[in-house]
Amino acid sequence: MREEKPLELEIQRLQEDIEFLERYIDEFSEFLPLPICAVNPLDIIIGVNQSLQNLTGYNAIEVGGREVAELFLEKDNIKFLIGEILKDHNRVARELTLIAKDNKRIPVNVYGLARQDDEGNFIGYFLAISDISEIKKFQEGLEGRVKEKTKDLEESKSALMNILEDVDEARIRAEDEKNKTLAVITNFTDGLLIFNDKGNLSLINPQAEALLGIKGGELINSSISKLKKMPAFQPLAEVIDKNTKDTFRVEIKAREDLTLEATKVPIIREKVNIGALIALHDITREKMVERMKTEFVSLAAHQLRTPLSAIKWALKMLLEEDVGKINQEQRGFIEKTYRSNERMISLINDLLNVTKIEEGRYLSNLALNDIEGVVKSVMDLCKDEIAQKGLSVEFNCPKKKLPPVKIDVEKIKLSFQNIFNNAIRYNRKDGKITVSLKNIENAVEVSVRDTGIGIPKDQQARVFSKFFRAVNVIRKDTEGTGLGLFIAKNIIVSHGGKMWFESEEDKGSTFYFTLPVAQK
Amino acid sequence: MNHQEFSLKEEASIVMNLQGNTRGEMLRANIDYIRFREGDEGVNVVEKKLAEIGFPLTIKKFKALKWYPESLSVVIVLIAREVFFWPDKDIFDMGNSAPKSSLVVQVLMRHFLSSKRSSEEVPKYWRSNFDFGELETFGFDEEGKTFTIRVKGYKFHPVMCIYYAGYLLRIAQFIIKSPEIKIEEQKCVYNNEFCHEYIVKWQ
Repeated sequence: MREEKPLELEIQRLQEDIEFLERYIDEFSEFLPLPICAVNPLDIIIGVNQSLQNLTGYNAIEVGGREVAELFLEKDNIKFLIGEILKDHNRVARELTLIAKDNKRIPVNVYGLARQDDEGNFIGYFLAISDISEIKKFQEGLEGRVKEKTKDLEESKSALMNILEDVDEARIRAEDEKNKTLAVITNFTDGLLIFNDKGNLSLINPQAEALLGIKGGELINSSISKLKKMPAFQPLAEVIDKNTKDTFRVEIKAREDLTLEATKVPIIREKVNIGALIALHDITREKMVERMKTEFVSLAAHQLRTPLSAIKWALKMLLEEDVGKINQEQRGFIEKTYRSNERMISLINDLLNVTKIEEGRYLSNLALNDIEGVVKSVMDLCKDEIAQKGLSVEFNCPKKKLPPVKIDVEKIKLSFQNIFNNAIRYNRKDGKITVSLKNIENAVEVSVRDTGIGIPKDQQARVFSKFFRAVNVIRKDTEGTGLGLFIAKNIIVSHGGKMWFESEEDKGSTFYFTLPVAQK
Repeated sequence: MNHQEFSLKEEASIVMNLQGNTRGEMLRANIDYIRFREGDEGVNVVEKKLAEIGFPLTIKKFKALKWYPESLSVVIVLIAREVFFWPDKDIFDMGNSAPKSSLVVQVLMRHFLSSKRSSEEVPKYWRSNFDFGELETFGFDEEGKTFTIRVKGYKFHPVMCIYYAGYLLRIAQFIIKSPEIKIEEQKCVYNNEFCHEYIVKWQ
């Protein structure tokens, strides 16, 4: 009996320990936030904690005894996990989808731990289930954002690729254009030289090389100053140096047998000067033809003038009855012949003036003169004609004496006479002519204003051309060579002056010219 | 005994006089099932009914490993059947659910090496849960997919034949993996036989 009592006490103590342990396990299981289930070797759930019941919505009674795979969507994966647990007898983890009681799918991480007895026999396993819904949501959100960003990036990439393609296409087009331009430049009949914005030679075509007798390749990138020192470029010095926003054209004698027309054109892109182009056009042949033509006209005119003068004097003698009486009818014929001969002489004189102008040997006897006197002398010569036509003439001259001009008096007289004669000839009856002189900056300006028939607008551009006569003039007066204004302008320009006009049909015209004041 | 002839109180009085103890976890399992089916209110109803028939107990305070009269477990089953109008199927389910929350069952699972070996361990389970009677298993036939369980020395109330059919089926379900396992009581002490004999069959 003495031995039984300690045994009973021992059993009671053990029972209390077990009860404490059970309570401890219950409390621990209750508190543990991680859903856990115990599974036997047949994969049947034999125990679950409160968290698992909370997560799945299943009561322990409902879930106990069920095959563990029933709780998961991926049956094969849970079987695979169990296989791994059995194989490794260790902790394994896998992401699965838990099917809750309300059929809700919950993404979970499942951790498995094999259970073994003391002899190493497999006696089941624990599964710990971690709800990763929030992580998944975050992950999906993140993936969504990544996807969105990726999409944005892909769109940007696509846009960039498009831009690159466009740029590439543009580059190909530009290259194509460049090649075409180069081909045009290379095959251009004129010589072309292109200078960049720094003034260095950037391109020269074969024609320019031939005209200048140089090898262009060696000169590319050479500066203007270097080029100007080369004999081949000496004739071009004036063109190269010319800084102009407009086209500049000049005729140059490159060699004895070569005359070039050099044109300098600024290359402007978006209002910025990026260089210049010099075009060299060979006009040797044109110049030769022109010279031959001028020589022919000059020769012909000289040859014609002598017999015409002889005819003039012969007719004059007949009219003055130096060689006998003539009747009225005869006088009429001879007078007509005399006037025609006069016109012929006038035409020949004009032609000779033109040929002299074109030969560049027109001006001589340049001397300081008073323009007022020159103008008045011409006006005096025309008094009879003015009176005959009933015209009034107004002469305006500043009180202060005009500065002298350096001129060939005879030529300026001829020039002014041509202008003044037109003002008389094409004025209306009883019209008015206003001649004005004034001192402008470094020049004297002369203007002749008439109240005549004017020049039609569409013909004004050709007024200073050789042999030009306006339609309304031809209708009014069949006389006139059409050379007067051509000669007049050339004389003024030869003196370094300018000539222009303003005109309105049926109202009149005003012709202006300037002559530079002689430098002291 | 024709139980239908007695009132619940009379039946309870008779049952409560019978000897034999069980672990508190058996009682707790029954209370858990009532709570699962009828909620806490249902548990209160049972507690109140116990008091009405003369057994005022706080049934929520049963301790899993302590010994309590098996008659108390039987009376709780009888009360549930009466107050909730449970048919035999519900009584069967109640028994079937009991091992699910059993700590003893989980402890016994440590002996699992095979279904046959586990079936041989089932008697231990009885001995761990009851201080009376005896359970034996025999005739485990892997090919024939059957084995037999005998419960000797248990005679509390016929309703428990149904309850233990469910209970023993759950034990079988824990140790045999099959889509369908059935149990049938072939012999019963209430048919003047020497024991309850259940045949377990599976597919």
